[in-house]
Amino acid sequence: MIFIKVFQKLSQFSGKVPLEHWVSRIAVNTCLNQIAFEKVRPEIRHADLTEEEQAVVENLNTSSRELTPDNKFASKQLVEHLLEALKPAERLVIDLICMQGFSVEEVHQKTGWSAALVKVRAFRARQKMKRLLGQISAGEK
Amino acid sequence: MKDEQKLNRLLRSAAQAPEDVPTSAPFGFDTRVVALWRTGGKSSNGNGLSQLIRRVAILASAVIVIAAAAAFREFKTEDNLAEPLANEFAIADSVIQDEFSQ
Repeated sequence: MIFIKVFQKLSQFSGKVPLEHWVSRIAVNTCLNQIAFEKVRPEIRHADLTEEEQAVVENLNTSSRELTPDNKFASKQLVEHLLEALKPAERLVIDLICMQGFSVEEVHQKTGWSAALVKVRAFRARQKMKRLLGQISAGEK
Repeated sequence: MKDEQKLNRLLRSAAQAPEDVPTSAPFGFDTRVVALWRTGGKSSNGNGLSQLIRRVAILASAVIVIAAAAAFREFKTEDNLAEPLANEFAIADSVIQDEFSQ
């Protein structure tokens, strides 16, 4: 998104400042806009999902079997949507434990948080993700 | 419990997905950006319309300057031509006046 913006706004580059500074300013502004956008709309709606993500949600609701390999990418995108609604610390814990497969002890060593805190954050994050997934599933019906 | 299972299945599937491509700038991106900027940002008009207008304006200015110089030169030459003629008339006039006075 940042590279596209750089190309689109290239005519506005005056040349008075180094290109790196100008690009980094665009990157910072894009990130700030994204944060503001997420604050305005923290919830996820079923209609916001792509067709593939909706298919994953439908699959989760209708079947108890594991998702097929062609759903992996869509399921990852769906998880990223869910993670966006979490606090940064909770997001990090879920990413490390559930996505990258680290143990609680390894997360404790990496982050410096106590094992109990890691477990509590993971539990809270999972509760939130379950609630959000339930909302999305309800929106599908 | 069912929600727990759904979330576990989703997370397991997501964890098996391949890693995202790196988000660093593509190879040669900065060079292309600088080159595009140095060409004058043709992308604003797409077909180089602004460059054409600029060339036409420069050409028109050159034509105006040349035409003005030529007109000035012509005017000067007319002045030079008019002076001898005026002298001829003056001479003829004085000759006629002299003849009449005699």
